Amino acid sequence: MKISYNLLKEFLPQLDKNPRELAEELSRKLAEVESVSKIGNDYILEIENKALTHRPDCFSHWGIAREISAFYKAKLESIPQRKMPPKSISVNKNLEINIQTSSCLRYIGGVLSVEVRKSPGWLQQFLKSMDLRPVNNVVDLTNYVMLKYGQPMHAYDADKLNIKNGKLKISVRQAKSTESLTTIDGKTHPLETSMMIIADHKKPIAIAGIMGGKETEITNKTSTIMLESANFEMYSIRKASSKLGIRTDASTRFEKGQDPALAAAGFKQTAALLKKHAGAQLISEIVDIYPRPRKQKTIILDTKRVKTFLGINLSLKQIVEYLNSLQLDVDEGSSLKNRQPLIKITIPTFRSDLSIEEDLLEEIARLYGFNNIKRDLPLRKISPTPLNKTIYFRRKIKNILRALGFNEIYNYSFTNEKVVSAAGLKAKNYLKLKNPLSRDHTLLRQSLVPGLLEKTAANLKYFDSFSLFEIGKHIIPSPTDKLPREIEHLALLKAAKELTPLRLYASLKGEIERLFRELNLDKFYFVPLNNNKGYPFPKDGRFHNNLSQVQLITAQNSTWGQLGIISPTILKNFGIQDAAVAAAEINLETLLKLSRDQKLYRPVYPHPEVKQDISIILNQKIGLDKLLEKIKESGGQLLKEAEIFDVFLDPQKMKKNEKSVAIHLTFQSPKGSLSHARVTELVGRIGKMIEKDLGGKVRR
Amino acid sequence: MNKQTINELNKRASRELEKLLDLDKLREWKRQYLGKKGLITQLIKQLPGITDNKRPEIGRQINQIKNDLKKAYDRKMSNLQNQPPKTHRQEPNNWFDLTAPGEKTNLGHLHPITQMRQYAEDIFTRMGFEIFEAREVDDDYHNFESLNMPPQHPARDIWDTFWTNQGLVLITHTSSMQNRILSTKEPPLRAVIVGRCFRNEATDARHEHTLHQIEGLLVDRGITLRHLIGVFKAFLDEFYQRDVSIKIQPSYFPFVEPGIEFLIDCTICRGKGTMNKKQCSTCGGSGWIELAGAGMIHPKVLKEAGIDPQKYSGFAWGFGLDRLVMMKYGIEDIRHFHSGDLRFIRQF
Repeated sequence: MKISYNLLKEFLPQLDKNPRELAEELSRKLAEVESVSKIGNDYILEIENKALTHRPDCFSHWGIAREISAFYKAKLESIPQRKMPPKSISVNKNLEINIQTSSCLRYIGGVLSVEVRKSPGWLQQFLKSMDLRPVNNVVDLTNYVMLKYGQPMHAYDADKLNIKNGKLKISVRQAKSTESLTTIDGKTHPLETSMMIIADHKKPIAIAGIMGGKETEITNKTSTIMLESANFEMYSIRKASSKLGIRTDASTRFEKGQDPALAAAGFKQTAALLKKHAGAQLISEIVDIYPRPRKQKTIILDTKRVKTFLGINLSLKQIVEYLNSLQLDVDEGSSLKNRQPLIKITIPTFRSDLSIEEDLLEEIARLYGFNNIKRDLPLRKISPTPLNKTIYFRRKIKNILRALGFNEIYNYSFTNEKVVSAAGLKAKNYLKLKNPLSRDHTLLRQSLVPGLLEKTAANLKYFDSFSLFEIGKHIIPSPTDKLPREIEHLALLKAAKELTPLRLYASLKGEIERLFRELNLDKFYFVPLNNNKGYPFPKDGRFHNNLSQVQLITAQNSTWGQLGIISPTILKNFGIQDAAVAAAEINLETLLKLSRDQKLYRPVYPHPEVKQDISIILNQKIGLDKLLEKIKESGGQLLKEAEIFDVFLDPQKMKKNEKSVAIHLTFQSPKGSLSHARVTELVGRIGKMIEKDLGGKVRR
Repeated sequence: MNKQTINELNKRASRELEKLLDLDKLREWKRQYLGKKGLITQLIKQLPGITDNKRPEIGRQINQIKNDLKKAYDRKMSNLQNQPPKTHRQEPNNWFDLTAPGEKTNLGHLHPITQMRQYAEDIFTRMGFEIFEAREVDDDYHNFESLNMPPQHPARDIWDTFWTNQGLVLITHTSSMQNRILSTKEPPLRAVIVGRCFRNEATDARHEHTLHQIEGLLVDRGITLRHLIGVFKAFLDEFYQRDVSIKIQPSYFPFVEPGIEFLIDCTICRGKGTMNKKQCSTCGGSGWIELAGAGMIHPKVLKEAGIDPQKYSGFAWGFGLDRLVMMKYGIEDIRHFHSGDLRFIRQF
């Protein structure tokens, strides 16, 4: 909001602060002044609106001047008493105003004869400095009064209004859904019953508090106007304004809750100025409908709270002075007598923002100066702050991944159907944005892999190989709850130009296993997929029918992740050429549940280890993680380690569906050296298990 | 046995000894010449067989040779033992430039916002705050209504809000968690909320629709505005590792009363407003940077969460991490954060 220094001075003739000093004090005590610029012989202060959202009274020069008078205890001129235009003897329009909606709090109307012409130079200049375009004297004066006092005004061309039985019948009512109105900006708006309008006896002439109709706007030919000074309920105005997508200087003021008392001053000032600058004469009675005049509130302030809530030491006298400077009446008589710290404060109607004790405490703190308040630290019992385990483990995971060479990516939570389907997914049951910023950001994501694939394509321009990860949420609409489920996931991706997809897969799998071991997971399996549903991994089946590259990470009988090679078709969709990509996505909530902070320690024995290798033939369908698990089971305590070191096919010696697996076995006893015979017995037991439980053969 | 054969044996033994390079071979040499069945030992054994008067002379000669070879052996032994192990012997033609850069390593990089977040979280943890995280999608009640913003409240326009088709909100601030925390934890409570927030505004070098916020919340008996200023300043001093100057401006958020805004002296120009005689681009020449919104928690917000504002008071603040990271490193474009560009990420 722009404020003219010269106009402020009209209200504060004794003010001796220059525009910059004033700007600084306003920033300290009211709202930030973003800039001060010189225009002609005036200075324009640009005040940030947001900090004034609760201060409708400050959306005018008058209101700002009132604040300044409180800062400096400077004398504030009152609104000048002006003479109303003379009442015409010859003509008398019969004006009737009818409020039919509770959202209209006050309506003042009057018909005037005017001579429309250009505004005087000073007014045109002033409006330009406020970023308003001068139109004609009538329109310009209504704007001037609004900027000066805060009361939005509107003038209608009265000759264009429909008369019924010699009466100009104006009503304020809710619109009918069949009605529409073309506003001054030339746009036609279909109206809804939730919108309040001003209408003559036939049709709408303005959207109340927001914008007037084109048909009745003031033109050079206008000779009679109906001047409106009204007040509307704030929520109703905001709702209509956001529905219609129209924001005007008037709606900005009304939706914050203007003081209905101001409507009278607004009417008077405008009419008087019209008399001076447009030769106006009143040709109707002034009709003022104010069904429920706003009453002044009173608030009881416990003055002890200045100390206990703000931490400021002030005497009662100082407190009363601050409040008085803001034109708040303080009834301290009884309090002083009884040495009671409670005082009763009467709130003027223009301060609708003051309704509770804390509001008054803010006024005191503001005038005292926030920067003058001393600092202090609260005391607290010595007890440990609870640890957020999710954050703790997530950090651990990030640090492990960093050590493994992964780079962390942040992608948006937004996605779109195109990207989702390019990754081989269906964007079914995704949360949709009602008001997306762009077509790329219409949905909330349910997989992190498409985003990583996009970044992969971009990074391959500069790097031949890299590892990426992201931790982010899948946002899944919940059929039962109102809120969607937000499930955090970890996505990993490796891309390389020089490696085969299988090598990349093996390397990513190794890193995932490493991560899981570092997190001390008890058990996890990688189970090959038997179908093509392994999104976002091979869709065309090219990679996963021969071996088992596409796998689900499962534990405790639940699937909580996927790992695999991204198929060439999907790579092509993302514009990835000449590079292999392997990726995984893991449910982080499950991973955290399975993680343990505690390492499992095994004693270090001095006795020698005995190593022996075995080589076996197995059905290809039997998973090697399963095999290792069974070997460890049957090897018992004495089997320290079992490690697969070779897997191959040998079509000449084996059946088509078989594979050969070679395993290093390491034995050690906690009690002493193991005899050769004992080791042979143990290996034999493992061999028997393989033959019996897994249907394999031990090669000799 | 004559003088000549003895001399030849001596020469051969010395020659071979000289060529020896490792300890095993040296021991073998000793066995061959000086051992129990060694050639020199055998000569000594043959001495009694010499009958002529040359025996004493030959005897002296052999003893002399034996002692010399023994000494030579000891010298060799000590030489070889002091010699560097095989792994450390340098090939004569294998020149290595010690000033050449070392081999490349492969360490990954964490996103700078992750790092900044951890840094800030750790300070708050040390100050006794429990860390919480915010949802991304929430309902109107938690993002607005429970924060003293009924439907159509004008303050809702302070944030440009993304809505889903179901009427849910992409949180505009981490204050969306206030009601949940206040209503589940008993005072005294100290909480910090971290989360991803959203603003429906077009992106450019300085504006992003996706932001990261840290919010603080403290409720206890007798908490005053003094405590708010003290705690936040204590955090800032620790965060920047210096005595930060702060300035307070009045501000408005419906969920606090009074509402304020913290400014700090510009970390780039140190509050001078100029850098190299030019206007500082970080603070726009004012010397101050708007850092955080804050205030005393509005009694309606406390009441809504079942806390009696007569008994308890508290404060809250919130600030964005993204801008802090930009200021710390002088990052010129906020869009780098979500670009996934490794040329950016690998610098942190």
